[in-house]
Amino acid sequence: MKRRTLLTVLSGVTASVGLSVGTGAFTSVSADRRLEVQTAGDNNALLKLKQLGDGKRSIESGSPEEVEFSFPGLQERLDNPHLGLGVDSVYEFDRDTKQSAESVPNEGLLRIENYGNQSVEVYSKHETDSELEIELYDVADPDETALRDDSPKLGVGDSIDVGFRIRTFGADIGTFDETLTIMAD
Amino acid sequence: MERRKFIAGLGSLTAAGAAGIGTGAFSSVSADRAVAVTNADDSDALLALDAKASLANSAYADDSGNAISIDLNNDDLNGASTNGAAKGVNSDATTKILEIFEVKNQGTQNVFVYVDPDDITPQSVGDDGSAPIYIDPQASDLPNQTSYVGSALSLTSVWLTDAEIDEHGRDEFPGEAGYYEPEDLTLAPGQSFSFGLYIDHDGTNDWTGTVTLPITASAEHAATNLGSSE
Repeated sequence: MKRRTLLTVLSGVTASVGLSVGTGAFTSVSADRRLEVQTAGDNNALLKLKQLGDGKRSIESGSPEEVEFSFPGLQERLDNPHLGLGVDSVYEFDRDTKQSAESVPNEGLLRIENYGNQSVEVYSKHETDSELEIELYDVADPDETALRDDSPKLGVGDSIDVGFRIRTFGADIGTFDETLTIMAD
Repeated sequence: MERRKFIAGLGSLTAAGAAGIGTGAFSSVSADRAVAVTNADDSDALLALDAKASLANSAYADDSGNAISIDLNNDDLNGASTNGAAKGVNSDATTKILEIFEVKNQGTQNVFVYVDPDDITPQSVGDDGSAPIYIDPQASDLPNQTSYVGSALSLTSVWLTDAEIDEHGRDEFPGEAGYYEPEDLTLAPGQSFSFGLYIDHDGTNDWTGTVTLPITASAEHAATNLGSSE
């Protein structure tokens, strides 16, 4: 603190010299600037991730709150513990379990919503040691093109509802904990 | 406010020294002189920090006061007036927010701009790694960039750990510019780059806090030959 006081007193001399000469030269500047940061759960974040449907293929839990998915859904597994995806197959899940009983089913398992300031392209990345392949697709797209192959652009405030496509070629029987990365850039 | 005192202070030492040489021996002199100091808002400072509306993410900057700040929290996050607006950055995610404000050299010399990771507070959000969040300031739209062209550069990466020095055969600042070249982060008079952030949260616990980032510009370490720059 004392050092700064001393410097302050001396400093005036330079400042006045600088002004009289009319130059804007400076040797060094260090400016402390404040940044306030808060993290938010999936439902309140800049890239909002909202689970759709209440059939327990997706749940939101934890703190911070995160969405998780289960195929088959948790309720399906409770009803039949032996249930699973067949191997050497392609599965597409475009809605939660109960929705098929509805007259107008809600499509999509996950809504991805852009609450940032810029348009972003959205896609998924899946890295795994297993043989499984997991990708997202736009449930409103008749071709069900994977997001990673043709990334849709989300404007500010726009959202997209996606389903899951899971390929099980060459995979073993068992339960796999996989991580899907959702990219927006 | 302390920043401005500090800047002014650097120059005055020279003045005092010069006086000493010219006047012979004395124990102490006290001479009162009139001094004119003009402080400016950040956007008009010698190192100007300006959240221009043309920048993609200037909405995250708060330039209502004299010193600019960045708000990525509940009260001020953009879109707060719309339903379901975001309350924070994603947890368990890597968020990159570039182009928040412009850093412009309004002085008369080339300056090298960096952020010393040891001076970021709290230290837990930096390399120390004890917080669930890691925050690293970024520079994009650099006018003299020769390294990793097309990518934003970390303003702290002019410092390296011992392991990084061994692994990459690079010396840290100020011997070398760490991973970069001096010209990468040098601004000639009138030149500017865009300041942004890289925020990585590991998902373990929510994190809320205030971080202080020391943005430093030094003429001493600036590249002098900027080649094709204007």
